[in-house]
Amino acid sequence: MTMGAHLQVPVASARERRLTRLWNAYHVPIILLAPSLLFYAVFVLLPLGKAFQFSLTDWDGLAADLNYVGVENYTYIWTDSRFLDSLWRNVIWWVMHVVLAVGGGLVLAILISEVGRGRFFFRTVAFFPHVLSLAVVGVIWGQLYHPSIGLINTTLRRTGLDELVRVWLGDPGLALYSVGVASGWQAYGFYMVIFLAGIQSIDPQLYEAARVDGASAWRRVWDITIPSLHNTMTVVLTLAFISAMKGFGTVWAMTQGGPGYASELVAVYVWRSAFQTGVIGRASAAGLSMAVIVIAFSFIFNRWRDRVGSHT
Amino acid sequence: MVSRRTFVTGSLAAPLVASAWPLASAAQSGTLRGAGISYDYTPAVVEAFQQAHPDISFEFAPGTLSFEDGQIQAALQSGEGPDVVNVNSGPGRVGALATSGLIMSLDAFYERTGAADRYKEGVIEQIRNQPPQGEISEIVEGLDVFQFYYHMDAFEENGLEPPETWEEFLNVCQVLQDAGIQPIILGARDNFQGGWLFGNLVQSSAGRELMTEVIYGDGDFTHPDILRAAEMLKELVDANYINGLEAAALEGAQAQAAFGQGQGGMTVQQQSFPISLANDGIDTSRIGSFVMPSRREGETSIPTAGLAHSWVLNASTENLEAAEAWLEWVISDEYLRLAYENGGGLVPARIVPDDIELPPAVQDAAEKVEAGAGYNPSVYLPAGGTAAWYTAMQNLITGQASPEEAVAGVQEALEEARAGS
Repeated sequence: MTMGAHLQVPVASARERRLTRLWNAYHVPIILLAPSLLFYAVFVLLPLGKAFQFSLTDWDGLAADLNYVGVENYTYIWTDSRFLDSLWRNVIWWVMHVVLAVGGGLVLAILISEVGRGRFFFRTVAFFPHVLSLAVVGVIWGQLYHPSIGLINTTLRRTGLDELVRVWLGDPGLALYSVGVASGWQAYGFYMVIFLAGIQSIDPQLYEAARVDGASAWRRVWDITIPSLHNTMTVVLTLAFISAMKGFGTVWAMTQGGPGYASELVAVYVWRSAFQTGVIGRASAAGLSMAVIVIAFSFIFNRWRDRVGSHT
Repeated sequence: MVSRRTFVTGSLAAPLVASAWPLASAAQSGTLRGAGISYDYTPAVVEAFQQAHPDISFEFAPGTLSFEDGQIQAALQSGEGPDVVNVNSGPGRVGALATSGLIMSLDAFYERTGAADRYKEGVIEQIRNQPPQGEISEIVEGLDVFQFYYHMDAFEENGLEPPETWEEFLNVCQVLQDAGIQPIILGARDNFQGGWLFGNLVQSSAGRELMTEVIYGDGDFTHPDILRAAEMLKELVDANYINGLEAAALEGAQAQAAFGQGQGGMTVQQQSFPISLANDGIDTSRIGSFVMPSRREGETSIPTAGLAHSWVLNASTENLEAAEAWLEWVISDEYLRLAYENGGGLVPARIVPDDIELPPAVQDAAEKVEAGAGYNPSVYLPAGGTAAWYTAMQNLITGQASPEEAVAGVQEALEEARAGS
């Protein structure tokens, strides 16, 4: 007994010494990071934990008690054709987002970077749609798509293209794509600004050397700008994926996921389940499932891009 | 000198104390906080209440606290929500709030004030029948009555009369279409108007008794008479009497504006529709109304109607006395008089004293429901059922589901809601 007690003293002292050493080495970053970590825990980790808890219950948003149902909600959504359909629509939405918003942002960034005078003006004008709230974008494009008095159909009729006139938001086969165009219009400005920052960091001597070698504008973009934007592109594509997977605002403002479920994305499915149907547990399971997909894809994608980047 | 710890603690606490101060002072001074749906007449009735109760300061925050958006639940669950709230009525909303204990039972209030005697029997029966069964938790502000409105000129120019049978209704549609007029204008993107139309078709085909069984009992939504209503909607779309895709693209307000500007022959609306048009400077003297003809032999054609909005009492109110004073004001004759003198458009849920004159559009709707009213399923189905009901309607008008699939979807949601409750 005495020997054991005698042996414990130096062990405790060593631990204390190690802690003291660690504290001395890291106390400044710990103190500086503490507020952020506190906010992160309160506003991110706790809600996530709460959502996970709800996902294991059949809570309706009103009952005082939680009734645990295990993984029933997860089983339900992953066998629910409506959820799987909405997930597939998210994939379509993502592709549209990449083509229209990322592609549009890249093209505009390249064009604006070529502008000598008035670059600020063009950049501001091009960025303008992103300043608008999604609700305003919904109203604007809702009017543009109006079947009888909307600018799109009116223009088509006036130019003799009557056969192209469509009920853009009412046709189940077109609604998702129509809203996707509006969403892309709203989002491209954000990516454009990131691309512009990336382009500005490219060494101008590369372009000068290419000009001396007689490279056309297209070759300069293809062989210098695009490869130099590798890291920027990784960031943009990751952000675009996350943004596309969270898609909600424009859809809600323009079609509310309809007609029927024709433009229902996962976020709309979550919202409808939570508030219109009152199955908070199922909505939480769907939301968390989506979060896991987004995190996993982002991680894998970034690792892959890093590997590709290091090889090239 | 202030120590660092005191300074940090104080800095953190100050905003919290400052933000909590208005709440604390409001409670101490007996301020009554109200919120929810407001009307043209709300400022007038609030002002009159203030004059009659100078000891109570009533702060009313207008804005729809929607059940479907989770707003009302969040406000009541916060423990700091408004004392009295004007919300959308219905068993799926008020009934759910009452069952979960977020709003107070008003049984004692009804007993003390004799309020039940002032309301129409059918209204009291409805709010007593919804969950929790036998208990009353709301003061109904008014009813909405849904029926067809039509352009009299379009009818007269084409030798048409308001139809009295389904076949006559189809004939009216055909004649209007032949005359180059879109027979029915509909905006269903935001669901409401589509739900009203589909509800009228269900009433025409299935009647009130069957729907009572569906809503309050274990009636089957796939019943052949309800299925026939879905087929009727499909028939109207297939014949292009309703442009289904356009209807799915337009909001109710857009369809309302289009009809008000003279487009189309008919539309389904609530009684406040002509009042809204008149407020926009549109001449409504040539807009008539009729009830969707019943397809049930021997049954009178009646419109659908629903409890529109209700005042409820927050279960965590600390201002019960002032809140009950407000509710007593809401059930008074003077409140009703002021409401109709200041643009009120709801059909009264209560017995109207002889000396109060209703606006013509409200009077018309009130007379139509005297013979009875069918259910507006958008209000009476439980939460999950309502969402499925709207989806069924949208799928039918856009051809995404057959009538069988549409009603089966609603039945499935009903079964889930029943199992949950």
